[in-house]
Amino acid sequence: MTLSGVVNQFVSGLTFGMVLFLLALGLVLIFGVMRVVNFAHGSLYMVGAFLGYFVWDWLKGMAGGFWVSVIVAGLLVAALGLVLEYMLRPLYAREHSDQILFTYGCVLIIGDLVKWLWGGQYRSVPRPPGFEGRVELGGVVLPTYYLLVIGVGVAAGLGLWLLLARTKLGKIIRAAVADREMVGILGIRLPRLFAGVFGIGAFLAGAAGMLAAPLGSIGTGMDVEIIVAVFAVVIVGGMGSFLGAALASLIIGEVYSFGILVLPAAAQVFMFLVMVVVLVVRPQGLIGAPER
Amino acid sequence: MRRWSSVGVMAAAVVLLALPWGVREYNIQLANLFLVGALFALSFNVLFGYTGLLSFGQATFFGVGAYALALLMKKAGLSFALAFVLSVPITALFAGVIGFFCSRATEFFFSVLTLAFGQLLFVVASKWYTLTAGDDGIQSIFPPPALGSATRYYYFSLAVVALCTAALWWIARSPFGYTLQSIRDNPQRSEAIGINLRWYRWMAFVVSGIFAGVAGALFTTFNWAVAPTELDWTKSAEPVVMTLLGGPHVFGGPIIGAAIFTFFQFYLGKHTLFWALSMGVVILFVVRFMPGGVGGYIFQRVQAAREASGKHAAQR
Amino acid sequence: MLLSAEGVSKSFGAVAAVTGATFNIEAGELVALIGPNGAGKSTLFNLISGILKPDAGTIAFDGERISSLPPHRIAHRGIGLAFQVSNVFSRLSVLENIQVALFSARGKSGSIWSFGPRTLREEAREILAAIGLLEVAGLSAGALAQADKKRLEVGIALAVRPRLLLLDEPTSGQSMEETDSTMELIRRINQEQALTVLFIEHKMDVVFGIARRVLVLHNGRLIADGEPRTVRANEQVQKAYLGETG
Repeated sequence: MTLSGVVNQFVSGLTFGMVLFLLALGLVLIFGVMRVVNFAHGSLYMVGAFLGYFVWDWLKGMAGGFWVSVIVAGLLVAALGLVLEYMLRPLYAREHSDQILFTYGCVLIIGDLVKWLWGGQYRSVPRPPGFEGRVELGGVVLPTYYLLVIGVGVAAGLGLWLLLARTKLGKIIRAAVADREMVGILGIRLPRLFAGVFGIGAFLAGAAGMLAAPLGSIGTGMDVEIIVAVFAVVIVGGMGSFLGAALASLIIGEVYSFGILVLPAAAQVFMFLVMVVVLVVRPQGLIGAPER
Repeated sequence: MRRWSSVGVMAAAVVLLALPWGVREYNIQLANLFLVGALFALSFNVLFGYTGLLSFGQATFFGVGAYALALLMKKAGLSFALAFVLSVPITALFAGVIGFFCSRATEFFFSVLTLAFGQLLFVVASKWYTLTAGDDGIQSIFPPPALGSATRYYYFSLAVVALCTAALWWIARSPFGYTLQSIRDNPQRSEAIGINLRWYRWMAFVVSGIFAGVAGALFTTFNWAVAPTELDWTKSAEPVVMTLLGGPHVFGGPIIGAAIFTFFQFYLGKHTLFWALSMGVVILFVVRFMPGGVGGYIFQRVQAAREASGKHAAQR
Repeated sequence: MLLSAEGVSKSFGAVAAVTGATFNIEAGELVALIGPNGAGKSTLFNLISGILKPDAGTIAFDGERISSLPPHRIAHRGIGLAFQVSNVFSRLSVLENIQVALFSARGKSGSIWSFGPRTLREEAREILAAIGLLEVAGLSAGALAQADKKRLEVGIALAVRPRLLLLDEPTSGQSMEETDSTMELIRRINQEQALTVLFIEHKMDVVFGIARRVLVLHNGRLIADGEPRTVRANEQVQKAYLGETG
């Protein structure tokens, strides 16, 4: 395989990894603050893709329509996320399995609703104007849109870092991750914090859904496919660390990308191998803190 | 509690044994589905109710058992009896390997891994055409003539499920069962008294997988066909729903749940658009409002009655 | 020498919970571990029982290194632990709580051939009688009152027939009467069953009432080790409790 081919696969993997990163960010954020694992994160991603598609379709021809639909998709899914969080509230005091079961039930419901409302044919979203083509970087030809997605992923990462490090909300979030009870005692309204955090995570998932749409096709089954990959990221990177999520997203993205070359029909196998190896060697993830 | 449950069990036994008399074939088949579901749910509960592990991949072993039987009969030409018996160690092997990895993870990671392995096997079953005939599945897997009618196969299923249920009941009551429950209730304390958590979780997984596989094998010759859908994650949701409905902390809970579930399956129809949605709604409802399930509710009433008469009992 | 610790240290990030702990405990001793809040006592217990691994130093039990063993192996070597916060098996009955521990002690935990409820039942009942919980044997452990849970906690730890028993605040939350009976129980099991006991306590009357030796931990370091009287008179110990905070 030529160097150019390798670079191509690498960038492709990086792109996929960035999508995973956006999702993992939300998942880790929600878990870190609320200690809840949102099984329905992949479903939110899928809903974002579908809603984004319809918004884009409705806005047909409008300049910048693609970008509007990404944002709108994110916002709509954030709203859905707020609804989910509200329904989840009575369960915070309960065992983890109850929360997991609840979000699992949501996956079933959302998946079926999407299938009913919009199921059937696969839809596709073309790359936005200006990013349809390719660009040549040092002798390698790369799809421009890939670079854009990578850019967005990096921006999101930086943005989140800034949010956490510089803003008041960020400080509260970091405090809550360290000691949830204390934050409540200090007078910060936990319900609002939780809703906010869940909303941010959902926004990221929904926007990622639409952002990733031009990379493949939109259809039912997206939810389960992506959530397994995102969970792989979180297993490898640990549930407690954004940096871990970033590195793990890269790893899983690349494993998948190069895996396709070896086993096109089942590149997931390689993701599994990575997950399994990490779990055997270091059950708490590569970078995450040990959790019993 | 003992008197109540013995009466309940005997009543159920009478009903189940007498069922095929004067009943339409459709209903006999429904009852057969209930039996398969009951075993499937019981196998799930070994992990959930007894060991505290939430598995979203129970269909993996259901499917392995189903495919093992199908392939052994169709590709290896074995007789039904031999294939059925051999499907057990095959499922055990899969459960052993997958369980080895899953048992190293706890709580959330465990659930995710079970889901992931389920998806993996689903993909393998769908794509490995030469072995499994892919999405089409394998057809014409008939039981031997001796079990040819709906009634006869029903009694066969009843015998197998009754046997497995008795075995599971015995295992739940054994020291091994107690150990699993201690892991469920308090893993740290359990470890402090010398229990190797990983090992027991692994063993629980294997036991659970074996019985799920038997349920799957039973299903294959009932259904006369097997397809990758028996491995997918919505199939894995079924024992979850059944167990939650019936109550994970009562031994018979999954059986009760399977009965309720099969009953609704009859009314809603499995291939309706809203099947997964209904399951999801049920899960949400039960988790939020009825965490003990129907079985738990009955148990509480019995408890209250006994307390009124001055006796106490521990939840079994 | 039953238990020996040498230079044991453990830090959590920037916080040094335990530093350079070195001490020996002989078989048959009844030792109290005291110190102001946050001194590192529970951490030390967790290090001995294997829940935590030391960053430095070694711990040996009966001459063999245990610092790298997993908790369940250490438990089988003969170290029993009763937690500070009552950690019982809430969905099992009181009797079953003890039975589970007995199964483990006898290597029967994996057995699927015995009938659980009958196995080791008499022994379990004896232990319940010894800790005064026989009447509630059939009750669900989660339904017990806090003080009873504490007793069950001790019972579970005893059931595995340890040679060294670690008790983390065995009398916390107990009334004066209950404290007295717990103290009596500890003294009895130490003398009658020749069980070595190391316990963490905050109630000084308990400590000076039954302990024959006292270890004092302050800011993660062992600052005193000796007979109760000597320790009581030790200046450093007095300063630790009366003077500096945390």
